[in-house]
Amino acid sequence: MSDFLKRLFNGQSGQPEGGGEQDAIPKEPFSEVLDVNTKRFEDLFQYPLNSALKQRELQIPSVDRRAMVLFVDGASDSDKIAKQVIQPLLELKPKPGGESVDHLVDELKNNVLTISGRETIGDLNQAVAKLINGSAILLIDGEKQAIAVETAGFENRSVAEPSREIVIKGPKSAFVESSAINQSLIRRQVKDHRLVSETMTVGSQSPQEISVLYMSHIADPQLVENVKEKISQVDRDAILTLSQMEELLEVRPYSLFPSTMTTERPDRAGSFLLEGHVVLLMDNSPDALIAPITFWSLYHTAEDQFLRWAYGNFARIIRLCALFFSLLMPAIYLAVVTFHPEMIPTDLMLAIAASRERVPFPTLLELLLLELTFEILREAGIRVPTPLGTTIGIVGALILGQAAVQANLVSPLLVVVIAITGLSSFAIPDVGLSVMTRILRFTFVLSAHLMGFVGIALTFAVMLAYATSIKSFGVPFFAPLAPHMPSSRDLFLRPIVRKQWLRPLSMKPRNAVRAKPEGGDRP
Amino acid sequence: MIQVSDGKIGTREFFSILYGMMAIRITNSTPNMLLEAGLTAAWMMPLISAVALFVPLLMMLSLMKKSDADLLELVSELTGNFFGRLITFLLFAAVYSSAVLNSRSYSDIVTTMYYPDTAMLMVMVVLILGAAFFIAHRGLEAIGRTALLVVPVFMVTSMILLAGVAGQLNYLYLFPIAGTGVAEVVKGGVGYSSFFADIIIVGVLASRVRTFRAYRKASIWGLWVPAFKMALFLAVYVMMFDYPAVRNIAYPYHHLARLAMIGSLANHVEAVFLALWFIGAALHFAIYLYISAYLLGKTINYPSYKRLLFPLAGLTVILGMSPENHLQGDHLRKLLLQASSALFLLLPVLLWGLDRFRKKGKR
Repeated sequence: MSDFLKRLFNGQSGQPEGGGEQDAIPKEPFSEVLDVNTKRFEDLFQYPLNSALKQRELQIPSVDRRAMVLFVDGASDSDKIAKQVIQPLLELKPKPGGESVDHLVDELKNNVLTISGRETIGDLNQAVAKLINGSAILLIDGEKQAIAVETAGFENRSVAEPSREIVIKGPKSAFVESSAINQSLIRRQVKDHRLVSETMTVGSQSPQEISVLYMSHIADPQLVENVKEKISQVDRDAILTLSQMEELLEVRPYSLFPSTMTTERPDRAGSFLLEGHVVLLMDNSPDALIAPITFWSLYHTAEDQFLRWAYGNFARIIRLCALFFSLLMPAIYLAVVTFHPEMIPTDLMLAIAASRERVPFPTLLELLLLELTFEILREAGIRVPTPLGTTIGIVGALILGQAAVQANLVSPLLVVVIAITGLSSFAIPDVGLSVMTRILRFTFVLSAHLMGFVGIALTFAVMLAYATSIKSFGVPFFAPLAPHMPSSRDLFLRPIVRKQWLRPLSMKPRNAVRAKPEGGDRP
Repeated sequence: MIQVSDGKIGTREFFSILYGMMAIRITNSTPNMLLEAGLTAAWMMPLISAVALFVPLLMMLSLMKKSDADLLELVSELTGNFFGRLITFLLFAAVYSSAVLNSRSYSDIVTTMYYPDTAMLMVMVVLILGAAFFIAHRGLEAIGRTALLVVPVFMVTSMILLAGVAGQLNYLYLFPIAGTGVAEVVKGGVGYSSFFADIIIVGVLASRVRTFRAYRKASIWGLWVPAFKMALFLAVYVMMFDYPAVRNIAYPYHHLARLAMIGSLANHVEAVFLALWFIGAALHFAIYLYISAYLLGKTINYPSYKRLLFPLAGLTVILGMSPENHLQGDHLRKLLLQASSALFLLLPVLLWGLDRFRKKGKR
């Protein structure tokens, strides 16, 4: 039993994996003979069984050497290769002196190829990594080096509007699946030469590039180092998306409280960068991973800052109420009805009693039944085909609710309570926070069932103690409120923009002051 | 980042811890003892206690500043290893027995005032072994931060409670202003000064506070704010229930919460105050358990003191269940308070004297 549990929690399937070794790419230098090199590539890509590897042989007229251009079908843009690699090579005029033969590779790289991204590579390993990322490899007979030309041509969708973090006022572009486009979206927001973009590789078998973005003059170097170390420790054969990376970077994968978050808005990513956070981008992921985060990153939305002070803060107050409703409403209902009926005004109390009269179940069961139905409805709603969506909504919410009340399965007041709770959980901006409150809600319901308000209070205290003690990459979850640190007090409410001159010191920014001091705490 | 995870707490967190330790006393049987001793002048006694403790506190602060040490280091340095251990043990005994007696008292309140059908053992177990143990186990940082999040809420809601009963208060009930007589009131105030002795006890945590300045500021505020809150509430109890009826009310805070009305609709809001009070109680016992474990660890020289938390919490429940009824518990509490008052009042004076004596000896 304990063995089983250990295996379950260590995530091991029991059998060691040994399959990966046979296909490892040898890290050996190129040969001088073109055919030998070509043969090696063919073997690696299992040519002709595998039709992915394309070859284009040519004779460079000026130096009278054979050359070979290799690229992977689908990964690179063949038009680009034809126009910017092959054409210049074929049109190359022989130089009068003829000394160019000594540094042919450099000569070709610097003065012939018109494409901007190109580099010299010396071994097979590097070459294969470039090939699968869409580059073309130029091999020349008699040279021990090859040229990798950046001709990536993956299909991309165009920049669209965000689907999760929708705003009424403010920029409307969202990240797409291409890391390069995402970087350009961020650079468009943060026009600063100190925005560093480091590239790292993850995945031992199918390597993917991951970009680590941070402001070198703001972000704490130790934090950046910490994040990079975490990434380099990741040891998986393949990582396809950032969401997978997210879980691998987390310190507490079992915890209900998230320690990283993703955003699909370039402007949010930019504002996180300016506060000293680190942003990770990866191909295939239409979002950016932010680390570290605090409660406030989950609670705030982009629009809070776009709307005027009063409007933005009003939205925040509503959202705070929604957070508490979503977490506590069913539990409080249960506690009031079963333990503290004196709290309800007499008229309402009589109404509740009358509506409960014909319901055969205890309140807890009634509540769990309805709560479960709502969760199923929500889960189903995500997967219902769009044309059916409204129908299902009507069937689910109206007919089911109405019929359940009429069949005396649940009391009408409870339908109202669950509806408000469900609505509130949609008002929470971050998915992680929203799901967390949905799960914790059941804990609160159970404790309310056992101990009424005392149970709720104790569970809340425990939850608070846990939440305040956890850290995301060393930053406490409720910083800079608890522990208190100097900041611009952009917490439950935000001050006017003119007073937001100080970066939160909990991120330990290198350079805390944004603008000339005006109001707020002094560091 | 490094600055954040250094395991130390700042001014506000430390103040909140002190508030959580002391201000909650208005809700248990403390007011009864004070009202018994001071009658209509009971509200002066917390202030007198605070004054009586302020001098030892300043002495301790000056010693700490001079030698840059926390209370335990001071004790062992000035009194030697054996007496140092002995005093540490006495501190532990005072803190822990207070935790035991109070935990019983709080469970008594719940079963008497709110949940008459619930087993006392159940309340004790979820409060001490459940919440307080968990919070204490998350460490001092977590305690401080949790306190910082909830203490402002407590401050606001206690003001709301006062506003809720304001219409029913009669200030004339406070007279005769001197109650049992000036001498009696002063004597009682000094005698019960261990209500605020937490301010001396937390000296053992001084090295966990970020700077000495932060410690000094927090402990001075942390003494006076709860003292004023207690004085205010004692006055309100008398103004609300009148003497002598107030002597016969077991837990005036909870009766106050029952009588509070917020508007004409919400005239039974005591459950809300019950919930808030119990969050405070969980925090209160978490701090007490933490300090107990810390002191016991120092006494028996056991550095991984967090492991003592669970046995201590379990023992708290067992010992707390042993008095037959709450009257016995209250009697024991009175004895403890009077005995430990002397300890806490005199300890800083003793240390200060020893320090002086030593300096002279050196010269």
